[in-house]
Amino acid sequence: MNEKLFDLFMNNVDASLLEEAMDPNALPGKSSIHRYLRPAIAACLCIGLLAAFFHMHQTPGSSALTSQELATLGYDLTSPLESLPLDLDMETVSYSMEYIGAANDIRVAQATFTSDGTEYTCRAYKTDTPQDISGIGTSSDDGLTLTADNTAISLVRSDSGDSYVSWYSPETETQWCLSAREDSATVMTTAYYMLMCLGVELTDVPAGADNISCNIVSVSGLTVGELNFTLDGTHYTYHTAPTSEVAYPFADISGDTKTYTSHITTKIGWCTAELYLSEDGSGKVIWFDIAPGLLYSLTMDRDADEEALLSMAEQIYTPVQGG
Amino acid sequence: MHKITDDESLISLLFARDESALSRLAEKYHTLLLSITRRILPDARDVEECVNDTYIRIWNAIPPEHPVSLPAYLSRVARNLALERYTYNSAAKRSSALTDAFEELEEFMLPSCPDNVAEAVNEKIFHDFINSFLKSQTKEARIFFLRRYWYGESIEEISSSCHVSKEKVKSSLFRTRNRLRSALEKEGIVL
Repeated sequence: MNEKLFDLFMNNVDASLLEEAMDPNALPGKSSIHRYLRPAIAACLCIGLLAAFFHMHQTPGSSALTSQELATLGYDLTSPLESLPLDLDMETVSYSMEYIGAANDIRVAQATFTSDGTEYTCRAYKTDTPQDISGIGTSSDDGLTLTADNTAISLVRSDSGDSYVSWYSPETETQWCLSAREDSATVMTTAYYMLMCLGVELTDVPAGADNISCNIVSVSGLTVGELNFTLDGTHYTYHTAPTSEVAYPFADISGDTKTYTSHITTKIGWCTAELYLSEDGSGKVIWFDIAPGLLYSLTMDRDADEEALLSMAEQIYTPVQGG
Repeated sequence: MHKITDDESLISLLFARDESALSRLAEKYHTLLLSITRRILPDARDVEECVNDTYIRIWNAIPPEHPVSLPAYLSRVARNLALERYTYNSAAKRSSALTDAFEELEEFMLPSCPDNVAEAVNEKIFHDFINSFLKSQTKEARIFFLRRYWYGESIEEISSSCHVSKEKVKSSLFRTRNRLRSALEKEGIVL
Protein backbone atom coordinates (compact mmCIF):
# COMPACT_ATOMS: atom_id res chain seq x y z
CA MET A 1 0.00 0.00 0.00
CA ASN A 2 1.26 3.44 -0.90
CA GLU A 3 1.07 5.37 2.37
CA LYS A 4 0.98 8.83 0.81
CA LEU A 5 -1.80 7.73 -1.45
CA PHE A 6 -3.66 6.18 1.45
CA ASP A 7 -3.33 9.41 3.45
CA LEU A 8 -4.69 11.30 0.48
CA PHE A 9 -7.50 8.78 0.26
CA MET A 10 -8.49 9.13 3.91
CA ASN A 11 -8.07 12.91 3.83
CA ASN A 12 -10.95 13.10 1.42
CA VAL A 13 -13.46 11.95 4.01
CA ASP A 14 -16.18 14.58 4.34
CA ALA A 15 -16.14 16.79 7.42
CA SER A 16 -19.72 15.82 8.24
CA LEU A 17 -18.70 12.15 8.51
CA LEU A 18 -15.69 12.98 10.67
CA GLU A 19 -17.89 15.02 12.97
CA GLU A 20 -20.49 12.27 13.11
CA ALA A 21 -17.81 9.74 14.08
CA MET A 22 -16.81 11.73 17.14
CA ASP A 23 -20.33 12.77 18.12
CA PRO A 24 -21.01 11.08 21.46
CA ASN A 25 -24.73 11.05 20.69
CA ALA A 26 -24.39 9.55 17.23
CA LEU A 27 -24.92 6.04 18.52
CA PRO A 28 -27.37 6.22 21.38
CA GLY A 29 -27.25 3.16 23.58
CA LYS A 30 -30.37 1.27 24.42
CA SER A 31 -32.37 3.19 26.98
CA SER A 32 -32.56 1.82 30.44
CA ILE A 33 -36.35 1.75 30.17
CA HIS A 34 -35.91 -0.84 27.44
CA ARG A 35 -34.20 -3.08 29.97
CA TYR A 36 -37.01 -2.66 32.49
CA LEU A 37 -39.69 -3.21 29.90
CA ARG A 38 -38.15 -6.39 28.57
CA PRO A 39 -39.26 -8.63 31.47
CA ALA A 40 -42.72 -7.11 31.34
CA ILE A 41 -42.96 -7.74 27.61
CA ALA A 42 -41.74 -11.27 28.16
CA ALA A 43 -44.40 -11.79 30.82
CA CYS A 44 -47.13 -10.53 28.51
CA LEU A 45 -45.89 -12.82 25.78
CA CYS A 46 -46.02 -15.76 28.16
CA ILE A 47 -49.69 -15.12 28.83
CA GLY A 48 -50.54 -15.62 25.19
CA LEU A 49 -48.03 -18.36 24.64
CA LEU A 50 -50.26 -21.39 25.12
CA ALA A 51 -52.90 -20.05 22.77
CA ALA A 52 -50.26 -19.35 20.16
CA PHE A 53 -48.76 -22.77 20.69
CA PHE A 54 -52.03 -24.58 20.02
CA HIS A 55 -52.83 -22.32 17.11
CA MET A 56 -49.45 -23.12 15.64
CA HIS A 57 -50.06 -26.83 15.67
CA GLN A 58 -53.44 -26.50 14.05
CA THR A 59 -52.12 -24.63 11.02
CA PRO A 60 -49.34 -26.47 9.18
CA GLY A 61 -47.18 -24.50 6.75
CA SER A 62 -44.88 -21.55 7.16
CA SER A 63 -45.80 -19.70 10.33
CA ALA A 64 -44.27 -16.60 11.88
CA LEU A 65 -43.54 -17.02 15.56
CA THR A 66 -41.82 -15.28 18.39
CA SER A 67 -38.53 -16.51 19.77
CA GLN A 68 -40.36 -17.53 22.95
CA GLU A 69 -42.79 -19.65 20.97
CA LEU A 70 -39.85 -21.37 19.28
CA ALA A 71 -38.32 -21.97 22.70
CA THR A 72 -41.42 -23.91 23.76
CA LEU A 73 -40.70 -26.22 20.83
CA GLY A 74 -37.16 -26.74 22.05
CA TYR A 75 -35.44 -24.28 19.72
CA ASP A 76 -33.37 -21.51 21.23
CA LEU A 77 -32.22 -19.46 18.27
CA THR A 78 -31.98 -16.21 20.17
CA SER A 79 -28.97 -17.00 22.38
CA PRO A 80 -26.53 -17.78 19.56
CA LEU A 81 -27.72 -14.75 17.63
CA GLU A 82 -27.40 -12.43 20.62
CA SER A 83 -23.80 -13.56 21.04
CA LEU A 84 -22.84 -12.57 17.50
CA PRO A 85 -20.46 -9.63 17.22
CA LEU A 86 -22.56 -8.15 14.44
CA ASP A 87 -24.46 -4.95 13.79
CA LEU A 88 -27.58 -6.84 14.69
CA ASP A 89 -30.74 -5.37 16.10
CA MET A 90 -32.43 -8.36 17.74
CA GLU A 91 -35.81 -6.70 17.41
CA THR A 92 -35.60 -7.02 13.64
CA VAL A 93 -34.95 -10.77 13.69
CA SER A 94 -37.95 -12.70 12.38
CA TYR A 95 -38.66 -16.22 13.59
CA SER A 96 -40.77 -18.87 11.95
CA MET A 97 -41.34 -22.57 11.46
CA GLU A 98 -40.87 -23.62 7.86
CA TYR A 99 -41.62 -26.75 5.92
CA ILE A 100 -38.68 -27.62 3.66
CA GLY A 101 -37.37 -30.60 1.72
CA ALA A 102 -38.47 -32.16 -1.53
CA ALA A 103 -41.70 -33.38 0.03
CA ASN A 104 -42.11 -30.39 2.34
CA ASP A 105 -41.89 -32.84 5.18
CA ILE A 106 -39.09 -31.33 7.27
CA ARG A 107 -40.28 -28.67 9.70
CA VAL A 108 -37.41 -26.44 10.78
CA ALA A 109 -37.15 -23.53 13.15
CA GLN A 110 -35.85 -20.50 11.32
CA ALA A 111 -34.51 -17.05 12.15
CA THR A 112 -33.77 -14.51 9.47
CA PHE A 113 -31.79 -11.38 10.12
CA THR A 114 -29.82 -8.71 8.33
CA SER A 115 -26.46 -7.55 9.47
CA ASP A 116 -24.10 -5.17 7.71
CA GLY A 117 -26.27 -5.50 4.63
CA THR A 118 -26.05 -9.29 4.60
CA GLU A 119 -29.25 -11.31 4.93
CA TYR A 120 -28.71 -14.47 6.93
CA THR A 121 -30.96 -17.46 7.43
CA CYS A 122 -30.34 -19.59 10.49
CA ARG A 123 -32.14 -22.92 10.74
CA ALA A 124 -32.34 -25.60 13.41
CA TYR A 125 -33.99 -29.00 13.19
CA LYS A 126 -34.41 -31.66 15.87
CA THR A 127 -33.34 -34.96 14.36
CA ASP A 128 -31.39 -38.03 15.37
CA THR A 129 -29.40 -38.07 12.13
CA PRO A 130 -27.56 -35.28 10.29
CA GLN A 131 -29.56 -33.82 7.42
CA ASP A 132 -29.21 -31.14 4.80
CA ILE A 133 -31.58 -28.38 5.83
CA SER A 134 -29.88 -25.62 3.84
CA GLY A 135 -32.55 -25.65 1.14
CA ILE A 136 -29.85 -24.37 -1.20
CA GLY A 137 -30.03 -27.00 -3.88
CA THR A 138 -27.11 -28.44 -5.78
CA SER A 139 -23.73 -27.30 -4.64
CA SER A 140 -20.39 -27.56 -6.30
CA ASP A 141 -17.57 -29.63 -4.90
CA ASP A 142 -16.16 -26.51 -3.35
CA GLY A 143 -16.91 -27.57 0.19
CA LEU A 144 -15.10 -28.50 3.32
CA THR A 145 -15.92 -30.66 6.31
CA LEU A 146 -14.24 -30.17 9.65
CA THR A 147 -14.68 -32.04 12.86
CA ALA A 148 -14.48 -30.26 16.20
CA ASP A 149 -15.78 -31.36 19.59
CA ASN A 150 -17.42 -34.41 17.96
CA THR A 151 -19.33 -32.07 15.69
CA ALA A 152 -19.06 -32.36 11.93
CA ILE A 153 -19.09 -28.91 10.37
CA SER A 154 -19.61 -28.45 6.65
CA LEU A 155 -18.85 -25.29 4.76
CA VAL A 156 -20.29 -25.17 1.28
CA ARG A 157 -20.25 -22.61 -1.49
CA SER A 158 -23.12 -23.19 -3.86
CA ASP A 159 -23.11 -22.58 -7.58
CA SER A 160 -25.79 -19.93 -7.08
CA GLY A 161 -23.52 -17.69 -5.02
CA ASP A 162 -24.83 -18.69 -1.60
CA SER A 163 -22.65 -20.08 1.12
CA TYR A 164 -23.74 -22.09 4.06
CA VAL A 165 -22.27 -23.66 7.12
CA SER A 166 -24.10 -26.60 8.61
CA TRP A 167 -23.35 -28.69 11.62
CA TYR A 168 -24.99 -31.45 13.58
CA SER A 169 -24.89 -31.52 17.34
CA PRO A 170 -25.30 -35.11 18.57
CA GLU A 171 -25.67 -33.96 22.17
CA THR A 172 -28.78 -31.91 21.48
CA GLU A 173 -29.73 -33.93 18.40
CA THR A 174 -30.04 -30.74 16.42
CA GLN A 175 -29.04 -29.99 12.87
CA TRP A 176 -28.02 -26.36 12.34
CA CYS A 177 -27.49 -24.37 9.19
CA LEU A 178 -26.46 -20.76 8.63
CA SER A 179 -26.66 -19.46 5.09
CA ALA A 180 -26.33 -16.18 3.22
CA ARG A 181 -25.79 -14.88 -0.26
CA GLU A 182 -22.26 -13.95 0.65
CA ASP A 183 -18.72 -15.18 0.35
CA SER A 184 -17.91 -18.22 2.43
CA ALA A 185 -15.45 -16.32 4.66
CA THR A 186 -18.20 -14.02 5.91
CA VAL A 187 -20.64 -16.84 6.60
CA MET A 188 -17.95 -19.03 8.16
CA THR A 189 -16.81 -16.25 10.47
CA THR A 190 -20.38 -15.63 11.63
CA ALA A 191 -20.91 -19.37 12.10
CA TYR A 192 -17.67 -19.53 14.07
CA TYR A 193 -19.16 -17.25 16.74
CA MET A 194 -22.45 -19.18 16.74
CA LEU A 195 -20.57 -22.43 17.21
CA MET A 196 -18.62 -20.95 20.09
CA CYS A 197 -21.87 -19.86 21.73
CA LEU A 198 -23.22 -23.38 21.30
CA GLY A 199 -20.13 -24.80 22.97
CA VAL A 200 -18.31 -26.00 19.86
CA GLU A 201 -14.74 -24.72 19.58
CA LEU A 202 -13.51 -25.01 16.01
CA THR A 203 -10.05 -24.90 17.42
CA ASP A 204 -8.41 -23.74 20.61
CA VAL A 205 -7.70 -20.17 19.64
CA PRO A 206 -5.43 -18.83 22.38
CA ALA A 207 -6.88 -16.46 24.95
CA GLY A 208 -6.28 -12.87 23.97
CA ALA A 209 -6.29 -13.56 20.23
CA ASP A 210 -8.14 -11.05 18.11
CA ASN A 211 -8.89 -10.29 14.46
CA ILE A 212 -10.18 -13.85 14.29
CA SER A 213 -11.53 -14.84 10.91
CA CYS A 214 -12.31 -18.08 9.12
CA ASN A 215 -12.20 -18.81 5.45
CA ILE A 216 -12.15 -21.51 2.87
CA VAL A 217 -9.31 -21.36 0.36
CA SER A 218 -7.85 -23.54 -2.33
CA VAL A 219 -4.20 -24.56 -1.98
CA SER A 220 -2.38 -27.08 -4.12
CA GLY A 221 -5.68 -28.31 -5.49
CA LEU A 222 -7.03 -28.99 -2.02
CA THR A 223 -9.93 -27.28 -0.29
CA VAL A 224 -8.43 -25.83 2.85
CA GLY A 225 -10.06 -24.48 6.00
CA GLU A 226 -8.29 -21.34 7.16
CA LEU A 227 -8.25 -19.66 10.53
CA ASN A 228 -6.51 -16.32 10.98
CA PHE A 229 -5.83 -14.56 14.23
CA THR A 230 -3.48 -12.08 15.79
CA LEU A 231 -1.85 -12.53 19.16
CA ASP A 232 0.54 -10.04 20.73
CA GLY A 233 1.04 -8.38 17.36
CA THR A 234 1.91 -11.59 15.55
CA HIS A 235 -0.37 -12.77 12.78
CA TYR A 236 -1.02 -16.50 12.61
CA THR A 237 -2.62 -18.51 9.81
CA TYR A 238 -3.74 -22.04 10.54
CA HIS A 239 -4.75 -24.34 7.70
CA THR A 240 -6.25 -27.79 7.68
CA ALA A 241 -7.36 -29.97 4.80
CA PRO A 242 -8.42 -33.57 4.31
CA THR A 243 -6.45 -35.64 1.84
CA SER A 244 -6.33 -39.24 0.69
CA GLU A 245 -2.71 -38.91 -0.41
CA VAL A 246 -0.52 -40.50 2.25
CA ALA A 247 2.85 -40.55 0.49
CA TYR A 248 5.79 -38.70 2.01
CA PRO A 249 6.65 -35.87 1.59
CA PHE A 250 3.14 -34.66 2.28
CA ALA A 251 1.66 -31.58 0.66
CA ASP A 252 2.41 -28.12 1.98
CA ILE A 253 -1.01 -26.46 2.41
CA SER A 254 0.33 -23.23 3.92
CA GLY A 255 0.01 -21.47 0.57
CA ASP A 256 3.28 -19.80 1.45
CA THR A 257 5.87 -19.85 -1.32
CA LYS A 258 8.61 -18.00 0.55
CA THR A 259 12.12 -19.43 0.51
CA TYR A 260 13.15 -20.35 4.05
CA THR A 261 16.73 -20.46 5.25
CA SER A 262 16.49 -23.25 7.79
CA HIS A 263 14.52 -26.46 8.01
CA ILE A 264 14.19 -29.18 10.62
CA THR A 265 12.06 -32.29 10.91
CA THR A 266 10.30 -32.59 14.23
CA LYS A 267 7.08 -33.91 15.84
CA ILE A 268 3.72 -32.45 16.72
CA GLY A 269 1.88 -35.00 18.82
CA TRP A 270 2.43 -38.26 16.97
CA CYS A 271 2.77 -36.53 13.64
CA THR A 272 5.92 -35.85 11.69
CA ALA A 273 6.27 -32.13 11.14
CA GLU A 274 8.45 -30.03 8.87
CA LEU A 275 9.44 -26.71 10.39
CA TYR A 276 10.87 -23.81 8.40
CA LEU A 277 12.35 -20.52 9.56
CA SER A 278 13.30 -17.38 7.69
CA GLU A 279 15.81 -14.68 8.55
CA ASP A 280 13.03 -12.09 8.42
CA GLY A 281 11.49 -13.66 11.52
CA SER A 282 8.66 -15.51 9.82
CA GLY A 283 8.23 -19.25 9.96
CA LYS A 284 5.90 -22.12 9.28
CA VAL A 285 5.34 -25.66 10.35
CA ILE A 286 3.45 -28.25 8.34
CA TRP A 287 2.35 -31.66 9.56
CA PHE A 288 0.23 -34.60 8.51
CA ASP A 289 -2.04 -36.67 10.72
CA ILE A 290 -2.16 -39.85 8.70
CA ALA A 291 -4.90 -41.62 10.69
CA PRO A 292 -7.77 -39.30 9.70
CA GLY A 293 -5.85 -38.09 6.61
CA LEU A 294 -5.62 -34.46 7.64
CA LEU A 295 -2.94 -31.99 6.59
CA TYR A 296 -2.09 -28.99 8.74
CA SER A 297 0.01 -25.87 8.51
CA LEU A 298 0.69 -22.97 10.81
CA THR A 299 2.50 -19.82 9.74
CA MET A 300 3.52 -16.82 11.80
CA ASP A 301 4.73 -13.56 10.34
CA ARG A 302 7.30 -12.60 12.96
CA ASP A 303 9.22 -13.71 16.04
CA ALA A 304 9.15 -17.27 14.76
CA ASP A 305 11.44 -19.91 16.18
CA GLU A 306 11.11 -23.62 16.77
CA GLU A 307 9.72 -23.23 20.26
CA ALA A 308 7.18 -20.54 19.33
CA LEU A 309 5.86 -22.45 16.33
CA LEU A 310 5.61 -25.80 18.10
CA SER A 311 4.06 -24.25 21.17
CA MET A 312 1.32 -22.54 19.17
CA ALA A 313 0.77 -25.59 16.94
CA GLU A 314 0.26 -27.85 19.93
CA GLN A 315 -2.04 -25.28 21.47
CA ILE A 316 -4.43 -25.04 18.54
CA TYR A 317 -4.13 -28.54 17.13
CA THR A 318 -6.54 -31.10 18.49
CA PRO A 319 -5.79 -34.58 17.14
CA VAL A 320 -8.94 -36.02 15.64
CA GLN A 321 -8.16 -39.44 17.08
CA GLY A 322 -7.79 -37.89 20.51
CA GLY A 323 -3.99 -37.68 20.68
CA MET B 1 -27.81 24.03 18.82
CA HIS B 2 -25.61 25.31 21.60
CA LYS B 3 -22.58 23.59 20.07
CA ILE B 4 -23.21 25.07 16.63
CA THR B 5 -23.56 28.55 18.07
CA ASP B 6 -20.31 28.12 19.97
CA ASP B 7 -18.42 27.13 16.85
CA GLU B 8 -19.98 29.90 14.82
CA SER B 9 -18.99 32.45 17.41
CA LEU B 10 -15.48 31.04 17.47
CA ILE B 11 -15.25 31.40 13.70
CA SER B 12 -16.63 34.94 14.00
CA LEU B 13 -13.90 35.78 16.49
CA LEU B 14 -11.30 34.41 14.08
CA PHE B 15 -12.78 36.48 11.27
CA ALA B 16 -12.60 39.52 13.55
CA ARG B 17 -8.91 38.68 14.23
CA ASP B 18 -9.69 38.51 17.94
CA GLU B 19 -6.87 36.61 19.63
CA SER B 20 -9.18 35.35 22.36
CA ALA B 21 -10.44 32.95 19.68
CA LEU B 22 -7.27 30.92 20.15
CA SER B 23 -7.71 30.44 23.88
CA ARG B 24 -11.36 29.54 23.34
CA LEU B 25 -10.38 27.07 20.65
CA ALA B 26 -7.88 25.50 23.05
CA GLU B 27 -10.44 25.44 25.85
CA LYS B 28 -12.90 23.56 23.69
CA TYR B 29 -10.78 21.43 21.41
CA HIS B 30 -7.39 20.94 23.04
CA THR B 31 -8.28 17.48 24.35
CA LEU B 32 -9.57 16.36 20.95
CA LEU B 33 -6.44 17.61 19.19
CA LEU B 34 -4.20 15.99 21.76
CA SER B 35 -5.97 12.67 21.37
CA ILE B 36 -5.59 12.75 17.58
CA THR B 37 -1.93 13.71 17.54
CA ARG B 38 -0.97 11.39 20.41
CA ARG B 39 -2.08 8.43 18.32
CA ILE B 40 0.38 9.41 15.61
CA LEU B 41 3.29 10.90 17.53
CA PRO B 42 4.83 8.98 20.43
CA ASP B 43 6.82 11.94 21.76
CA ALA B 44 4.86 14.32 24.06
CA ARG B 45 6.93 17.31 22.92
CA ASP B 46 6.05 16.61 19.30
CA VAL B 47 2.39 16.33 20.27
CA GLU B 48 2.43 19.68 22.05
CA GLU B 49 4.22 21.40 19.17
CA CYS B 50 1.88 19.84 16.67
CA VAL B 51 -1.21 21.04 18.52
CA ASN B 52 0.25 24.53 18.84
CA ASP B 53 1.04 24.50 15.13
CA THR B 54 -2.57 23.55 14.52
CA TYR B 55 -3.77 26.72 16.25
CA ILE B 56 -1.34 28.80 14.18
CA ARG B 57 -2.53 27.15 10.97
CA ILE B 58 -6.13 27.77 11.94
CA TRP B 59 -5.39 31.41 12.75
CA ASN B 60 -3.80 31.82 9.31
CA ALA B 61 -6.44 29.87 7.45
CA ILE B 62 -9.61 31.42 8.92
CA PRO B 63 -10.36 33.76 7.24
CA PRO B 64 -10.61 33.28 4.31
CA GLU B 65 -11.64 29.67 5.03
CA HIS B 66 -15.03 29.22 6.65
CA PRO B 67 -15.25 25.57 7.66
CA VAL B 68 -18.65 23.94 7.78
CA SER B 69 -17.55 21.83 10.73
CA LEU B 70 -14.94 23.40 12.97
CA PRO B 71 -14.03 20.20 14.89
CA ALA B 72 -13.63 18.21 11.65
CA TYR B 73 -11.53 21.01 10.16
CA LEU B 74 -9.33 21.22 13.25
CA SER B 75 -8.99 17.43 13.36
CA ARG B 76 -7.93 17.29 9.74
CA VAL B 77 -5.31 20.00 10.17
CA ALA B 78 -3.94 18.41 13.35
CA ARG B 79 -3.84 14.96 11.78
CA ASN B 80 -2.05 16.19 8.66
CA LEU B 81 0.51 18.10 10.74
CA ALA B 82 1.09 15.06 12.91
CA LEU B 83 1.53 12.80 9.91
CA GLU B 84 3.97 15.29 8.38
CA ARG B 85 5.93 15.38 11.65
CA TYR B 86 5.83 11.62 11.89
CA THR B 87 7.17 11.19 8.35
CA TYR B 88 9.89 13.72 9.07
CA ASN B 89 10.88 12.08 12.34
CA SER B 90 11.08 8.52 11.16
CA ALA B 91 10.64 7.07 7.76
CA ALA B 92 11.89 3.72 8.94
CA LYS B 93 9.80 2.04 11.60
CA ARG B 94 6.10 2.60 11.99
CA SER B 95 5.03 2.30 15.56
CA SER B 96 2.24 4.69 16.44
CA ALA B 97 -1.34 3.76 17.25
CA LEU B 98 -2.69 5.13 13.98
CA THR B 99 -0.03 3.52 11.83
CA ASP B 100 -0.74 0.25 13.63
CA ALA B 101 -4.36 0.71 12.60
CA PHE B 102 -3.22 1.29 9.01
CA GLU B 103 -1.45 -2.05 9.10
CA GLU B 104 -4.78 -3.74 9.73
CA LEU B 105 -6.04 -2.19 6.54
CA GLU B 106 -2.92 -2.91 4.57
CA GLU B 107 -3.62 -6.56 3.94
CA PHE B 108 -7.00 -5.65 2.53
CA MET B 109 -5.62 -3.21 0.01
CA LEU B 110 -4.36 -4.05 -3.41
CA PRO B 111 -0.60 -4.20 -3.91
CA SER B 112 1.23 -0.88 -4.22
CA CYS B 113 1.44 0.63 -7.63
CA PRO B 114 4.38 2.60 -9.01
CA ASP B 115 4.55 6.23 -7.84
CA ASN B 116 4.06 7.63 -11.29
CA VAL B 117 0.79 5.73 -11.59
CA ALA B 118 -0.24 6.67 -8.08
CA GLU B 119 0.38 10.35 -8.76
CA ALA B 120 -1.86 10.17 -11.76
CA VAL B 121 -4.85 9.17 -9.69
CA ASN B 122 -7.37 11.94 -9.56
CA GLU B 123 -8.02 13.21 -6.05
CA LYS B 124 -11.66 13.75 -6.94
CA ILE B 125 -12.03 10.03 -7.59
CA PHE B 126 -10.84 9.38 -4.04
CA HIS B 127 -13.19 11.98 -2.64
CA ASP B 128 -16.22 10.59 -4.44
CA PHE B 129 -15.31 7.00 -3.73
CA ILE B 130 -14.53 7.15 -0.01
CA ASN B 131 -17.53 9.30 0.83
CA SER B 132 -19.89 7.27 -1.29
CA PHE B 133 -18.52 4.10 0.26
CA LEU B 134 -18.81 5.37 3.81
CA LYS B 135 -22.33 6.70 3.27
CA SER B 136 -23.40 3.30 1.95
CA GLN B 137 -22.38 1.67 5.23
CA THR B 138 -24.53 1.51 8.33
CA LYS B 139 -24.04 4.45 10.65
CA GLU B 140 -22.47 2.22 13.25
CA ALA B 141 -20.05 0.56 10.81
CA ARG B 142 -19.07 3.98 9.45
CA ILE B 143 -18.42 5.40 12.90
CA PHE B 144 -16.33 2.40 13.98
CA PHE B 145 -14.32 2.60 10.75
CA LEU B 146 -13.53 6.30 11.02
CA ARG B 147 -12.77 6.14 14.74
CA ARG B 148 -10.32 3.31 14.05
CA TYR B 149 -8.72 4.36 10.79
CA TRP B 150 -9.07 8.13 10.76
CA TYR B 151 -8.79 9.00 14.43
CA GLY B 152 -6.67 5.95 15.29
CA GLU B 153 -8.70 4.89 18.32
CA SER B 154 -8.08 1.45 19.74
CA ILE B 155 -10.73 -1.28 19.67
CA GLU B 156 -11.09 -0.84 23.44
CA GLU B 157 -11.61 2.92 23.11
CA ILE B 158 -14.27 2.48 20.43
CA SER B 159 -15.97 -0.24 22.45
CA SER B 160 -16.05 1.97 25.51
CA SER B 161 -17.15 5.19 23.84
CA CYS B 162 -19.81 3.54 21.69
CA HIS B 163 -21.09 1.22 24.45
CA VAL B 164 -20.71 -1.97 22.43
CA SER B 165 -18.62 -5.09 22.91
CA LYS B 166 -15.07 -5.29 21.58
CA GLU B 167 -16.06 -8.31 19.52
CA LYS B 168 -18.78 -6.31 17.84
CA VAL B 169 -16.31 -3.55 16.94
CA LYS B 170 -13.78 -6.08 15.61
CA SER B 171 -16.39 -7.89 13.58
CA SER B 172 -17.77 -4.68 12.12
CA LEU B 173 -14.27 -3.44 11.18
CA PHE B 174 -13.43 -6.78 9.61
CA ARG B 175 -16.54 -6.69 7.48
CA THR B 176 -16.12 -3.05 6.52
CA ARG B 177 -12.51 -3.70 5.48
CA ASN B 178 -13.70 -6.58 3.32
CA ARG B 179 -16.36 -4.43 1.72
CA LEU B 180 -13.84 -1.63 1.16
CA ARG B 181 -11.48 -4.04 -0.55
CA SER B 182 -14.27 -5.33 -2.80
CA ALA B 183 -15.38 -1.79 -3.61
CA LEU B 184 -11.82 -0.71 -4.40
CA GLU B 185 -11.32 -3.71 -6.64
CA LYS B 186 -14.64 -3.09 -8.36
CA GLU B 187 -13.70 0.53 -9.06
CA GLY B 188 -10.15 -0.41 -10.06
CA ILE B 189 -8.66 1.90 -7.43
CA VAL B 190 -5.18 0.92 -6.36
CA LEU B 191 -3.73 2.21 -3.09
